[in-house]
Amino acid sequence: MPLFTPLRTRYSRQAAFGLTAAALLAASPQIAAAQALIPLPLDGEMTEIDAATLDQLTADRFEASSHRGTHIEPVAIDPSVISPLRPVEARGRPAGSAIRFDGESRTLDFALFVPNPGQMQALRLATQSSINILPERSRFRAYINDTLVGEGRLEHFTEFGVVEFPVGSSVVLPGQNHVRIELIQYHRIYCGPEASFALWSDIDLANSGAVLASADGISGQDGFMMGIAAAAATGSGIEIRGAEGLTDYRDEWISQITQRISASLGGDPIPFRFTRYWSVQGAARSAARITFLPGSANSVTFRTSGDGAQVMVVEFIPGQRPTALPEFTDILPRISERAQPALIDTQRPVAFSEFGFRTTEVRDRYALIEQRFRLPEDYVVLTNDKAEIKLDYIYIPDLPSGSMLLVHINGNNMRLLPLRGEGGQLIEQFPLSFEARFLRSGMNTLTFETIIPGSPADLPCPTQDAAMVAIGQGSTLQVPYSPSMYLPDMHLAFSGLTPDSLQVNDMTMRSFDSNDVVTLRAALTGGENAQTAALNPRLHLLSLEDLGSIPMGTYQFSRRAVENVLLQNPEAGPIAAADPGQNSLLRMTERRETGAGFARSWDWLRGGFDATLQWLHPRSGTLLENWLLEQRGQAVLIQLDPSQANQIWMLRAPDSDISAISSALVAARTNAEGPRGQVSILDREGVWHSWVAPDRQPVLLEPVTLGNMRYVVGNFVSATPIRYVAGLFLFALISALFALRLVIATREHRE
Amino acid sequence: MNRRRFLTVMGAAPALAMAGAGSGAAQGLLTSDLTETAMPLWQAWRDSFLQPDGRVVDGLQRNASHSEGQGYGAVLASEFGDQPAFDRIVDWTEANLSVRGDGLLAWRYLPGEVNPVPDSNNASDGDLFYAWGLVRAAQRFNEPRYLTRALQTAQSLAERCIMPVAPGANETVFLPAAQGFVHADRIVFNPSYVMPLAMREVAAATGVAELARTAQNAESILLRLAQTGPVPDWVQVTPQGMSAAPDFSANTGYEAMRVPLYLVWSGLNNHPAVTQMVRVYTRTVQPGVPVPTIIEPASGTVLEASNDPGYRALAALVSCAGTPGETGSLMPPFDPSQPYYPATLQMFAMIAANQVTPQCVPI
Repeated sequence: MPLFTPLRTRYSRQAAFGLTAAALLAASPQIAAAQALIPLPLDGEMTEIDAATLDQLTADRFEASSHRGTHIEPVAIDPSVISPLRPVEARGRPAGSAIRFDGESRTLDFALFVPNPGQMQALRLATQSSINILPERSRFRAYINDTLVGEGRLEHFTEFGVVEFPVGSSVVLPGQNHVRIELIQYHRIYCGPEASFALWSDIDLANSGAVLASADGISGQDGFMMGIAAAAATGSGIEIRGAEGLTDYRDEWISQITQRISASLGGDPIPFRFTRYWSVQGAARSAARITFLPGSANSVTFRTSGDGAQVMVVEFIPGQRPTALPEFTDILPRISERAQPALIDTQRPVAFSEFGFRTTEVRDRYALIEQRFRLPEDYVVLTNDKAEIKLDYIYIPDLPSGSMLLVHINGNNMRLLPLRGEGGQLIEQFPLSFEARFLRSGMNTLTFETIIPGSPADLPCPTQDAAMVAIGQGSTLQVPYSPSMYLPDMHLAFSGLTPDSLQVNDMTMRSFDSNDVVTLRAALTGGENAQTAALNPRLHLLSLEDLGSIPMGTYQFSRRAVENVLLQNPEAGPIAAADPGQNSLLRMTERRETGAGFARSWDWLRGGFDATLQWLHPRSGTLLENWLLEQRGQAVLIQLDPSQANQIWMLRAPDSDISAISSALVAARTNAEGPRGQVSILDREGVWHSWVAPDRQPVLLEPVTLGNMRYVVGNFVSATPIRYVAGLFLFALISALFALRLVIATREHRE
Repeated sequence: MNRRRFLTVMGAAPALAMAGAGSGAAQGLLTSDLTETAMPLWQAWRDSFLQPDGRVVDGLQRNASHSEGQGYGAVLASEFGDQPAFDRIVDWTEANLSVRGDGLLAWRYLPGEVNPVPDSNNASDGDLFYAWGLVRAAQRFNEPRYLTRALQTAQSLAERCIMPVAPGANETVFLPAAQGFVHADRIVFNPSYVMPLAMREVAAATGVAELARTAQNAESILLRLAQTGPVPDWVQVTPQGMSAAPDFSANTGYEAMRVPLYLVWSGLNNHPAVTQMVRVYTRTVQPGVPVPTIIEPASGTVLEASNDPGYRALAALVSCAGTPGETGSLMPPFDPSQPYYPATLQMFAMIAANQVTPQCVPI
């Protein structure tokens, strides 16, 4: 006898249900008051379902509920993870996850984080090369901590190809490792400088690095640094989550942490982006994150999040200043410093080695060797005083005709040294004097450019294992004395910018959101010149709508000129002039001008007069306007008023990438040419183009003495010689007139 | 009788007290208004799974719709204050699934079929969530008509889907449907159809006290089931007692994974059924490794796993909420490209964390 009575519920129990519902409605005033706006379906007569049918229907239900997710077969799971390579130097123009090696030979250094060396399986490199590369002889070598771990051929041309070199745990250190990659590339058809320009190989950083057996055990600060490298390689940036809970001290907390991380990273800055705790997965998966959680003490821990991101969890005491994060101060390893180049002495021969140049051997048909150094920030020489390089160099005999070594200072060619006649002999202290006015205060660039034609030029270069040219670190540079002077230039303020220098106003957010501001602040961490930082420099972030707030000094430019720079597509030409056909007034003007021959003559005369006047007394405003109309870029730095030498104003293109701008800022203070003069534009390739006002006047920063008088006067006169010539001419004329009058008066007296 | 008094009478006070304790232990993180802090997630869910006509689509199930999905959608829409979406869901549901005449919904709609609703039997969890969505919407949107409809569902659930575990017993059980689960020798039920918080809120709003009482009984039943391991998908009650229903599914799978979620959402973080799943997840969930979705309860062997973020979110919530002192969970970001079911569970995990354990925000 069954204990349970089978309950075959009949569908038609509406009478009972109706009564119950009516009773409840009566009992509940709230419900009774409600209007029953949702009609129930008509009460159809339901039939009993037989047991077999019911079982079948129920089976359907189980079948449906048994597949409710994306099932993963265990064998399909590859638990290995990649710890990507992190370039130690800022590239100035990060372009996705690829880093480019161009020319015939190139070496780049990377940081590699391996939290647990026991999990290291291999070093993976994903490469893609130009079709011009001769795969049989072009190769790369990879070193970890100066141990060669593998050598491969450059043979992937249409897409990235992967090579893995097995690496034992003995080669790898826990935490940070140094990876060096050397590439040698040969053109498959030609040999020579032109062929060299066509050689390149890319390494996909997102898919290159340490292959770790699994993510198991990846944690702590090394795991976080590994995540940061991945965030940089994939371009996903570092996510900041939960910052809204920091309330009044948000900026202080964010600044402290992002700047510390940025200082540890060196190299290209990584963009930061704010997210909420609850977020939607974006196109790029987060690899590194900083998450703020309120707690009872300030502390830092490292965890791996559910999406695989390496997370630095910062617990903070709500409502309190970020007074101390004891673990944080020394918790992150330092990959590289953002240090400015060495400052050299004046008036004495300074060995190249003193400012970081090491003896360099050149094996390439074309090579560009750049070395930065700094001069004092109050260094101004505008006269024709000479600086001198005494060069140690050597080249092999029988170099092809036309081989040469070019020496440049700040992009200006100083000397051309033919590489012939003395092959095989060490040439010591070869004197190269050049005008010191090509030197600048602050950062300078000394460049050696070697050009060695192919012989023959229409066949691939022979294997070149030995160096063809070498430049010695014992070479010296001597620059002449400069009185303490200042030439208005944004470089002074730029070199001293710090995270605190960033200034925003109510309109800033139209062009820079909070993510951008944090990323820029972090990029300005480290690399500042302590001397100029003491001037309390300011970098104002402006929107285009706020252009009028820029002090213009004696200069001028139109809003249209700036829009031409920032709003134009790089491929497009300048903003087109108004179509005369669209404007009757312009058509009338055109008719008048074309109809009158004398008017053209008048225009010619007027143009000549303007040119002469411009030569005599340059009108910088016109020049600046014209210069701007020819430029395209993603950011503009402006400093026009010389009385506000510690202030710079910055504008950006609406479609610009803040990480590219940040990277260019870092590179400009460490290892690349930076903004100069009164207006500087960062183009889409990460190169700064600067406009220097021709009429800027030096400012003397020390008293005039007998010792410095000649130099001071020389600089003032050299700045705008025509003024002094005209002044002296006027003085001479007045003197002559006075003398003449004196003679006449004297003679009258005698009579 | 006000709501708190009513719930005290119905034995809901412990659950609320625990929910309150959860909030109190948030260490500075408070329950937030998700319409301000998580609106993009709702928009992503809505764009992915809710058709313009109000049908919630389960792509993995031949693009079918279920009363469960309609109910889930109704709860989500009310949570995020999206009345247009809520109205669309209700309109479609009433037009297509409310075909029985008793206020309960046919459990499935198959698009493109000659008869898109071949089985008019209901699924009690779908009805429960549908009623819960209506109850919440009535309050949120100040629309009493929703409450009227919720009353009809609640009353029918009480009448047709709640019965004593044995003749004359005081303890009641929540049947999976009005038909098909009560046999001569046993009653089969699905523990994951019980959502204590929903049952209590619907009971409080409609006055159908049986729902609240059954919720309390269900907690007790779950406590007994969890003594030996994770709660299985299906359970049978026989004269010999309560055990897994082997001819249904004795594993802890896609059904039972909701049990700890609903318990946490109901404020029962320390319930043994939660603790059992915390143990499973602690042992099996690792970064980069798929999350178990089907487990053999006795041995703990993982039979199936998935990389769907929703399952990882569920595991992260349970692990965080079920571990005293834990701050910050390992919930991944919401990914709308995952299937409907894990995506919806991820939304629920977020709501549960926000309401009950705000300290379990994703790190």
